Amino acid sequence: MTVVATQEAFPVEKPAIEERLLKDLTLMVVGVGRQELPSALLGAVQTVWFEGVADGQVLFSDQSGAVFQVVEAPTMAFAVLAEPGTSADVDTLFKWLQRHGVVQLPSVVGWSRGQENEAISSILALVAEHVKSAARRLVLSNRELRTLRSMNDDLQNRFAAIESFLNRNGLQPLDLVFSNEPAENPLNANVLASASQDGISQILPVPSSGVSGVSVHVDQLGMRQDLKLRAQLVTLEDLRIVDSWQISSGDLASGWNIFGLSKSTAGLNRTLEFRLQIEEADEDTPRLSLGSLQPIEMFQVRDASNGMPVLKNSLALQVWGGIPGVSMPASANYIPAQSQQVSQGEGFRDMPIAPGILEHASLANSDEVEFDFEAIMPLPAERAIGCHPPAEGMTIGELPAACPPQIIRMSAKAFIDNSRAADIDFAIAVAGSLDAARALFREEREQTVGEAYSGWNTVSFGESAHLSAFASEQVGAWQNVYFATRMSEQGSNDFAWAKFTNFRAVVSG
Amino acid sequence: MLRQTVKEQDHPNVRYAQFGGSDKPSATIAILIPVYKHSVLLTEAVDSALCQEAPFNIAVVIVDDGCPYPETSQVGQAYALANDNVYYLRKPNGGLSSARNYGIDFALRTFSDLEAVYFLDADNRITPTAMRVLLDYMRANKGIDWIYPNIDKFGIEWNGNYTAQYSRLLHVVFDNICEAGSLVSKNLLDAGVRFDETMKSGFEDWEFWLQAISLGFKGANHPFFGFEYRQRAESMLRDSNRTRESILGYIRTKHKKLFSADTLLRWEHEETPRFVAFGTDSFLVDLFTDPVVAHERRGFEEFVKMFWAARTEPETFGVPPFWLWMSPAHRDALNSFGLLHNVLWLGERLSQSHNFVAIRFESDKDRLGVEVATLGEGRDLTKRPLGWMCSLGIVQQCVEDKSDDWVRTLRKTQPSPKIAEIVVRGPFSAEDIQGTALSATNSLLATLGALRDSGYRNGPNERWIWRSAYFPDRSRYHELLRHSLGAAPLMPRLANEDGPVRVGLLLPIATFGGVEKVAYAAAHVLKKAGCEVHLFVFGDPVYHRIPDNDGLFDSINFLADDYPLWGGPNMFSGHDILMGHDENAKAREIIGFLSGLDVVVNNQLAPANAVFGELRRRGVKIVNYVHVLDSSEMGRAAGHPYLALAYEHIYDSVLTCSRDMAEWLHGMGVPSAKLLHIPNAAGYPLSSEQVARLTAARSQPHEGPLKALFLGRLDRQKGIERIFAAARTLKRRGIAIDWRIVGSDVMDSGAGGSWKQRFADVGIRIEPPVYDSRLLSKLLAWADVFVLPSRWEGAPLTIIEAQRLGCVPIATNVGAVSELIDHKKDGILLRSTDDGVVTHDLTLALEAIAKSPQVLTGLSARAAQRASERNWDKSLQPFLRQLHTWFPERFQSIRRTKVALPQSENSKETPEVRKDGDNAVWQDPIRQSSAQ
Repeated sequence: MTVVATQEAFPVEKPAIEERLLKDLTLMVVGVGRQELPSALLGAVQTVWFEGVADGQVLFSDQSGAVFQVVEAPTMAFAVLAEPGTSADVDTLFKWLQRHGVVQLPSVVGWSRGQENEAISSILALVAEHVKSAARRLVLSNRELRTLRSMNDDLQNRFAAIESFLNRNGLQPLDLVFSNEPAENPLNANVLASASQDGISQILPVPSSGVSGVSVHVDQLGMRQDLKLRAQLVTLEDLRIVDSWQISSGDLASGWNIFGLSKSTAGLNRTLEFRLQIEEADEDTPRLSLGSLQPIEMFQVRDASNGMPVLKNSLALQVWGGIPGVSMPASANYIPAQSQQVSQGEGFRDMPIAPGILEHASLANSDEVEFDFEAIMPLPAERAIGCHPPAEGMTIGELPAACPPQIIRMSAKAFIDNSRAADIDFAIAVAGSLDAARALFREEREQTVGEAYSGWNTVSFGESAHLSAFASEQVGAWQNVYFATRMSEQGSNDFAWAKFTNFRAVVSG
Repeated sequence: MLRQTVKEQDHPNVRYAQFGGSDKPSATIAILIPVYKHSVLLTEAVDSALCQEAPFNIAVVIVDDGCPYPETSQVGQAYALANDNVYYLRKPNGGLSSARNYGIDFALRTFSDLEAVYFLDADNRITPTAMRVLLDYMRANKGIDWIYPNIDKFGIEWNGNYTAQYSRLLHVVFDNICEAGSLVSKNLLDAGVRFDETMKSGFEDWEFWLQAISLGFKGANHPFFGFEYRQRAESMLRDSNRTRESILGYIRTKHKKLFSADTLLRWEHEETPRFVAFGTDSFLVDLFTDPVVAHERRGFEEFVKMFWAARTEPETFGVPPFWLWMSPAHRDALNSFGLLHNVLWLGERLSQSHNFVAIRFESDKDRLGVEVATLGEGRDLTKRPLGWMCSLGIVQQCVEDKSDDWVRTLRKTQPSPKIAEIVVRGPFSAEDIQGTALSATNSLLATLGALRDSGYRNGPNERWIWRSAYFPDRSRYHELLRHSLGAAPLMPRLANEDGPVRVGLLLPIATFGGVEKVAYAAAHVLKKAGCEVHLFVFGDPVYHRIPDNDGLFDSINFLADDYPLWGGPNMFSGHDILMGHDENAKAREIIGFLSGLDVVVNNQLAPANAVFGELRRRGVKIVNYVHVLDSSEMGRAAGHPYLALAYEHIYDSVLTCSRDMAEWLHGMGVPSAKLLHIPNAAGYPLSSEQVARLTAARSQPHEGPLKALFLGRLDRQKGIERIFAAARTLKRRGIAIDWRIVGSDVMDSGAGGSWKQRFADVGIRIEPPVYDSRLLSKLLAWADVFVLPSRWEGAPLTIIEAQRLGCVPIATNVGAVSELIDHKKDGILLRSTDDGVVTHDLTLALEAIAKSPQVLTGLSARAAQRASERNWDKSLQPFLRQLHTWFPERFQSIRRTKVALPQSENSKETPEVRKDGDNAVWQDPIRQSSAQ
């Protein structure tokens, strides 16, 4: 059956004029007779004539002269077409509009006999400006969209990098990725003193992504301790300063000095150049070590002012890498970048659980299991904890308040230290209480806010497992770390020397 | 253009429009962004263009190539309205090339201050400093007309290192190494370089750069360009790679000259020279492909740095792949005999199968040649080499080696490395052969020591350039060249652009045979006509020196390899032949050996036919010079004319020494347009004064016995037993004949032993062969008659040489002999039937002449007259005209008019003029005759 809707059945009411003024582009006319305006113009936009203000409400009339009251200001007032000499009325209209919250008042176009063309031109100019303005807004939107897309790409890449790191076993957050060792240099040249006031530059032989620090080797400290040194790390494809350092010559140590970035570089790979400048360069300035002769001019140490090689050597240098976007570990001894404080709160930090905390490990579920020896045994020399599983059930150990706030991941390495042991299951969890942890280990429920659980991993002698417990959502409180072992096959737990080591936390901020 | 609305004082709230604007559009750089279906990503490209930080004006020109998505138009319009320096152009869809060209034309006509254009694809990006840095670089480096980036891809991330010094060779034979996203100078665009709009499947940018190269423009990489290439899983480039071969075929055809051996070799010489030569008397090293062309020289220190840079970053830096230790004086000595290129070519070839190649000279005033042997096969390095060669790989191994004990054994007679020795023979002077104070061996060891002990060696043993390698090793570009040209190794001889026509004469051996004599005679004429003439000997690597030829050849080249001069696994009309794909054809080696020639003239070299097709495809003109139809043991017609039939389609011209041969070939299927009759003339020159002096005695009354002469091999072909039989009969009859039999004795089992002994039995002494033209003339001047009762011949030169000196030829009527002898007028023709008839006729003829001095005098005079009308300059005119037709700009030395010949019966050999279009083509009348 076909149903036909008819106007009779569903009568459509014409919207009231006020509603039209809220939807259409509106031309407001002040003091110009209806007959003076071309009908084509009137047809082009919604046109109303200003009749005055009464009781706080504006009176408009339409093309036929019918007067009506309007409460709301027209949404898209395009222009006011005014007879010269009617500025008082225009002011009245504007005041009313301002009282009704209009900030951007419409432009006034003069309309007088004999000047119609100029008026039409002005209207066209307004139209053009509106179009341009709309275009600018569109461009702005596009730009914002592009920025969002770019940020999304960046985040995707960072996440992928983090994931790949977290899924890899034992990657250190501060790896030596390139080393050009000091070479015997018969000339014993002081390269800083040889360069111009702009100092020296050295192109790094690694891509930018993941670089967390650059080391230079000081062969001999200068006599003066108060000379100012400025260093910069610059990407050459866009000449962007990635990080900068400002120190005194007295801050340098003999040997390697790491200029640490506030966080490892991320994003697209670019070429990095390390620049170092010292005030009052003379023979008293620190003497940097050089690598062996460098056959490729681009990698010779160069004068920062003109890019010309200062010597045929490259600097003795080391490049350190980490996870893109992650700060250097607190334990690293490095010269912090100037931007470090600014960047606090961004990125991720990978933190080892201090050995001292491991010594507080204790048996948590003594109500369930009993041993005639210490089932949980901190092993400071090994930076590990022994966790002997029972023949049946599980042993749960506890590190009280070992997990920092904003945890993303807690990880540890698990292994068996006796070749005669049977296979053992290992797990770690972050939770507020033993009961919460026990429920996770028993897999009775999913982890909740702030909790993390690695799941059970079976380990044989000679193997190791990297346990990763990811938090579903970050909380701003310290929590306990629980670790547990059980025999993979219930029964004999002889020689089950199960050990956890390398507890680490990745935290946000 | 609407400028602004302005306020009038009287009406503070009333604004009036103002039209028109006087500012001219200005842009130092125009960034052209063609767009098709990249509506959204376009904003990234445009924004990256608008973000440029530069102290000059930059226009952004968006060219909408008829994109069907409305969003593209909306975005383009929005940017154009919002930014004064953004232009949004629309055109019907025509492909990427057409869109870029549209943008180029707009930029050129719109911005009067334009200096360069940058092509930015709608899905790519540039960093904010890119245009400033690049324009600074272009302004600072005059002669660079485009700057291309490394490839830094995002999306599917990859960073490719393109920082090697720009190489046209690499760009043409490897891949498109210049991304379209390059900064291009206005000069280049003003020269008319545009994207090929017929290329819609990709690689149009490659073709664009090839146009630029053709016009002499050069590019350069900027290592920190700031270009970001969006790589997604599928792209136009990936599609292009699927159809790469067909597109490349189009590009190769369009830019034939760029892909030619001449061009590529020149670039190799200029960009990545194949050889480095260490003189023993200088700290400078020479880097070249062709040693006699101006080339780069570097200090030794600088070269050591190059070596280690190449070790660290092999795709960015390189050193020559073949190393030579030889003093410049010794190189000059080789060059003076035209052997230098050949020795380098041999050295390169041998360096690939041996650790080192030793080069030594031996003086030999009669021969030029090379002898190649591997040491250790009962042969020691007993004499001190004047030069050494080896490959870069061996140098690298020696330098990496912890000990130099192995290489130091080069000083010994039995060195540990595998060594090939090239002994070069020639008329070297004592000074040429004299060693240098620092021997080549010491120079080699010193070089290796310097490299090993260099401070550049001690850096970290890893790459410093972090981008991934994409280019091939810069020290291995010669392999790309080989691959591109299907040749290995390539003769390192550069062509003089627009220089003389280069003709290669190919011979199986270079002794004193008739084929060689004709080839040498042709060489003289070609040389005189302004050609470069190169001799190639494929068999025994010896050229028997003829003083008349000294300085004749621009180079002499010996293949000196195991190369069968006859045979093959395929059969054509009873002849074993080779084809290009047969292993024994050694196609790559032979093509490399013959590279750098415009014309190849094959003088009875059978196996080389197999590779001529490939040479011809590369533009080389192939000429076959056919002399004689041989006879098999059983009397079957055989030999090179049959090979000419087998390979007829690869010959541009076939030269014949006789009308008879031309008619035979035509009858067998060779088009007459290919046949050029080159009548034989005397094999060596004699001035009219010399002829007059040598023949003066013939005007005196004849006295004494008839003097009969035979010159040639004492073999079956020449009918030596017929001479023996006739001599014995005449002796029995008491006819006094003074015989001289001159030639090499050939042990002939059919003849029952040595001819020397048998002739001695009838009182005739056999004299050793004579090669010196003066002695030859003396013999012919001495003799009254010259006998040649051959079983088969072509058009023997000796008959003409005999006639020239009034010596009457008595010869069997075989081959084209009848074209040389008019019976009983200027010689005697013997019936060529069975041996008995020939011997009978020969005996009768000798007896008759011996008894009638008047007959002899008359025959002698007319023979001399006839021979005087023959000369090579005249004979070779048809070939010279053919060369002019092929190379009208480069070959001018031809007679513009018809050759004037005496109006005798010989006029039948006068060439005629055939009108062929606008070109008057000289054609021998023989080609008009009907086939036999």
